[in-house]
This record gives sequence, structure tokens and C-alpha cells, in this order.
Amino acid sequence: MSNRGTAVLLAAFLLGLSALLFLQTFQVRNFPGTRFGAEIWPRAILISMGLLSVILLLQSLRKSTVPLTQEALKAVFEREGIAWSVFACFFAFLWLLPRLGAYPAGALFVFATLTILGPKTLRSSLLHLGVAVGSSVVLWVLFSQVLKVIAPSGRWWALL
Amino acid sequence: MTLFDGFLLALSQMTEPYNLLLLGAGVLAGLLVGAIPGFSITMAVVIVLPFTYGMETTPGLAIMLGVMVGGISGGLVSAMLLGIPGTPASVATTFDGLPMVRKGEQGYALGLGLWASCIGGFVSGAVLFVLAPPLGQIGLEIGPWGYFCLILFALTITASLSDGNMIKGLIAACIGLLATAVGEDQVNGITRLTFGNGDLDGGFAYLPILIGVFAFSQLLSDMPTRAAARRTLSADAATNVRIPHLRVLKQIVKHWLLTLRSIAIGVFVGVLPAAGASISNLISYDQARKNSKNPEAFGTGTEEGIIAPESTNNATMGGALMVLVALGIPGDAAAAAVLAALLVHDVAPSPTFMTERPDVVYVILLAFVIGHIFVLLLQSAALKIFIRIVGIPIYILAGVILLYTGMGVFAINNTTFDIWTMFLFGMVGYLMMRFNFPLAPLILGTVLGPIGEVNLMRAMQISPDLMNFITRPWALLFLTMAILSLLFPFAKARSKSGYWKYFGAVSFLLIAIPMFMMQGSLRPIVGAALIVAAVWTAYRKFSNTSHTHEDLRHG
Repeated sequence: MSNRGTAVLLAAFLLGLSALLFLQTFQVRNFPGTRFGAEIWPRAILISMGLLSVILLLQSLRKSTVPLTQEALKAVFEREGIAWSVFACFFAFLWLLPRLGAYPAGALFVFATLTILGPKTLRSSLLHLGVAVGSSVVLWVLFSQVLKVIAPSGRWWALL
Repeated sequence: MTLFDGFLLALSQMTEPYNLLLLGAGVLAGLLVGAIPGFSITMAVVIVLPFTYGMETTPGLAIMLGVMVGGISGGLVSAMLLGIPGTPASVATTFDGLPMVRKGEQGYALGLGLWASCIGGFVSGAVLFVLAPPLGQIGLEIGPWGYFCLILFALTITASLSDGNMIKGLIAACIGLLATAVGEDQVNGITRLTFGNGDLDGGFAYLPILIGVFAFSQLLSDMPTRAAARRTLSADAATNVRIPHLRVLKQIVKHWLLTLRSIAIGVFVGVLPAAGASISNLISYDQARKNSKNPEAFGTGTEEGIIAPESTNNATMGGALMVLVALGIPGDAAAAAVLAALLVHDVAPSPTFMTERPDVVYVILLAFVIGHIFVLLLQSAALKIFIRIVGIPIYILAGVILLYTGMGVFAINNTTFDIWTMFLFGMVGYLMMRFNFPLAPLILGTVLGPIGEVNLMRAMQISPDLMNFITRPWALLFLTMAILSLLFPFAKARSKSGYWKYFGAVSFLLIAIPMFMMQGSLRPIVGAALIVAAVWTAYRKFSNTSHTHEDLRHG
């Protein structure tokens, strides 16, 4: 897709989001007799955002089209692949957090992230494992022992 | 007890070795916590607070003030070395601090930040000893109309920072404002924009948003390819750790006007309740760039871009502290935590606090000033350890930092919802960065949204007449400045043509109007001075144009 196409889509998305949230403000139920309801502030923001999105859309439509080359497309895929695999690992960490507990889930997150991003050799894997376990141990000492934070313990362990 | 007696008593208490030791310990704790991404000054204060329960007032205040001073100074380390500001006060520091570190000048960059911070804090502390009472009066005059316009001004000026992208900057600010509009409203507690999801009733906290946006976007932008992910953040991180103090001081002396102006901005913004270092560091950076001889160098690792925000954020804390002790109004979340610490020690700030307990007031001010000397002494050593961190490959840092910040976010309220917030806004921040939306307006919108709403609603409940935004001088002043900051990019692009070249003169003239509407005799004098400046600027522009026409006529 060209850069103009992306810009137009983005502006249209922002405009649509503003409209959707604006409609949602009509669901607000205020106390009877309220002079200035809870919907006023978000509506003011959403009207501003909608107007700005229209300007952005007009600016995007006036933009000249520059199609992406094969190399640029490849670079985009690599960059997006890295970013979204990190997000996927973090999502998995959040899903595992209440099930496995903060520290085992944390160690798995670090190991998975480093394995995806780092070199794929045995030596590197051992290093990643060490970093994952080490960082979780340091976290446990700092949060659970020093700061007395009650971290999620993991409900799967209770089944054992 | 007279003010002078109070000062002498406070001085004798604060020079006791035990209190100095505790102040130093507080500064060290603040420096360490402030330097860690995902932690904030507020959290540092809250962590240390329980340790002071059993202490007397002076030692307790010494350690808390130490944490506060150390926390804001420590923030520059993570902002510069990792590009992740721990608090909004360090946002602008990343703009030039990180590029300078990337050039391999870690010691120089950190030295500039360190010395600018200390000078900012030290000078603001000294100034506040003298100017505290009259400065405190200004905050009382502004009122909800003025506060709302101040917030508007803060957002528009931040958007104007994003050159060529003002529309995107304003949209980013709207997204930030919207993020904190979700959940219960600030006035009536009515839920909105939750789509019926009960988890959203409490809304999103700003700290997880801030950390998510900066942690993900910064770390992911550092790893565009696998090869880039496997390199270190700075090639010679392990070798170039020395702070060239003399070179740093020479630079600060060279930019003395910039330093003083930044400190003045910091103190002024700090005095305004609810307007903290999150605003001042960006305003100061913007002013530094606009007044620089090389504005195009900003963002590439220029000295001015580090000196301005760092001298400002510490100075802002001085201003915020003064309002806190004088009126009992916390300037920001960190000041709110310090207020809690004061109450623990049976110290309740109020307008009569200065006359009733001058010894305690001066203990606070002295601890603030002496704390900056400790920052200078302790941070130089601590930096050497921290700089080694940037010698680790980026992908290892990224994995560990994301886990650490996730757990840090969890520890704020002990809820996994905050980590989900961090994750969600991490994706939002990353996408915004990908599509060239500036992140600073988003963060500022997030921090200022609730304050803006409360003040707007308060103003409308007092009087729904919108003319109050024009007839009240402080509101008019900030509204004028907000409009001028929106027009500035257009004026800058067309500064040599037509009527736009008189933009500066007209700006002075417009800002002078609210000055004449204010009480007292000093502010009308400032207004008159602004009119003189307007006439002089217009005359210079006019005569330059005439000379150019003459030159053209004579070939």
C-alpha cells in the first residue's frame, strides 16, 4: 500500500473512532438535575478530535502517492514482525500471570522474547535462560522480599 | 518565633551529622529509584515513607525531601541512557539526551543534565527563600478559568513542538485527554465510555499509560531489525564514563541566560498549583529551541536541549514545594506524596504555616537546597555503574526492562489491570510512533486531562458564562498564549512575508492586555514594558523592510 493510502486510512480510522465514542457518550446516565453532565468533557474532546481528523484526512488526500519498493516492504515486514512478536510475548505473559504466577511467567516472558530476538545458538540459549531466571530471582528479591509487594502466585500451582 | 529565628533553628538542625546522613540516604534512594524505568518519584516517596514513621519531624522531613530531590535528578539517567523517562518531568530530556548518548558522549550528556539539575534546584531554592510570599499570591489569583486555559496552553505549545506535525500533535493530545476521560468522571462519579465493561469503571491510571507508551515505543524503535536488536545501545559505553566537569560547567556558563530563563520558567510553573514539571520541562525545551541560534540542531543531541529541561524540572520542584508549604496545595503527584509525609509528622501546611512554624518551613527549604549538593556528590559515582547497563545488547535490555516495568506498574496499585493498561497503551504508543504522531502531547494530555476537566466543570458551575474566559486576566493571558502558540508555526514559516513578520510585535501587544487587567502596580508596568517591546520589534521589522526595498532600488 502507498503512503497516501495508509495516511487516508489512518485519518478515516480516527474519524470513525471519534464518531463511535461520540455516540457512546449518549449512553451516559447522569443524576437527575445535574447541570453539567459527565458526557460534556469527552464530547468536547471528541468534537476537537473529529475536526482534527477531518483536517488530517484532507491533508492525506492532497499527499502525493509514493508506492513502497520491494526492499522497503521487506524492511517493514521485519520491523513489524519484531514489534508484534514482542507484543505477543507480553500478551502471553499477561495471560500466564494469574495462572503461573508473576515470577515463573516473567521468566518465561524474558526467555521467549530473548529467544525470538537473539541469536539461535546453544550458547545464546543458555545465556537467555540464565538472564530469564536471574531477572526473575532479582525481581522476587526486590518486590516480594524488600518491597513486600504481594505478586500473583498462580492458581495452577494450587492444583498440584 | 521570628522568621530569622526560625531560619537559624532550622540551619542548626539541618547541619547535624545525623540529619545530613539521612538526607544523603534519601537522595541516594531517590537517585536509584528515579533512575530505574517504571518507577517514579511518587513511588520512591511512598516506599520510603513507612521508614520515617518513627522519626522526629526534622529527620523524617530530611529523608523525604532527599528522596524527592534525588528522584527527579535520577530520572535523567534513564531518560538519557534508555530514552524512557521514568516520570513526565524527564520527557524533554530524552529529545537531546538520548541522541548525545548515542553519539558516544555519555559522560558529557549526563554531566550536563546533572549540573543543570543541581544548579536549577539550588538557584530555585535560593530564589524561593526571598520570593516565596509574593509568588504564592499568584497561584491564588488564577482560579479555575485560568487553570483550564493554562492546561490548554500547555497542550497547544506541546503540539507546536512537533514541527510540521501540529495536527498530529493536537490529535495525540486529544487521545491523551480521552484516555483519562474513560471511567468515572471527576465531578459526579458517573461512568462513561466504558461500553458496559466494569473493569473500566475506575478508568486508566496515568503512570501505566506513560510507562507503556514510552517503554514499548522506545524499545521497539531501537530494534527495527534483528541485527540492530543484537547491538548495544552505545558502542563505547564501557570506556567513556568520565564526566568532564570543567567542560560541562563551561557550557553552562556559556548558556547562562538559557539556564536562568529555564529556572525562571520552572519556578513560575512550579508555583502554579497542578502545573508541575511535566509541563515546565516541555515549555522550557520549546523556549530554548525558539530562542536558539541553531534551532535545527535540537533533537540531534545539542547541549541547550539538555540544560533547559533539566534546570527547569528541578526548579519546578522548588516552586511546587513552596506552594505546598505555603498553601497546602500539591503541585503534582510527587508533591501530594510529600504532603502525606508532612501530615505523618504532624505538619499541616496552610497559609499561616510560614508565620506559625518558620523553623519547619526552613527545614524543608534547607533540605531541598542541601539535597542538591548531595545529588552532585552521589550521582557522579552512581552514574558509572548505570552507564555499564548500556553496554548490554538491546534485545536483552528490552526483555528485562519490559518485565521489570510491568512488575513496577503492578506494584503501584497491586492490580494486573494496570499491566493490561500498560500493554494496551504500549501498542497505541508504538502505532502512533510508526505513523509519526508525537508522543509528548499524548502524555501531557493524559496527565492534565483530569485536572482540566475538574477546573472546567468548577468554572462552569460557578458561572456558565463563557465570557469569564476573556474577562478574567489570567484566563485571557493563557488563552492568548495558547492561540499564539497555535499560530506560531504559520508565523515562523511566513516570517519574511506580509503581515506575518509583525507576529512577534502583535504577540507582545496581545499579552500586554491581560497584564493591564491585573491588580497591583507591577503587572501594569510589565504590560507597559511589553507594549514598548511590541513597538520596538515592529519598528525594527519595518525599518529592515524599508532598507531592503532601498537596497533593491539602488541595485
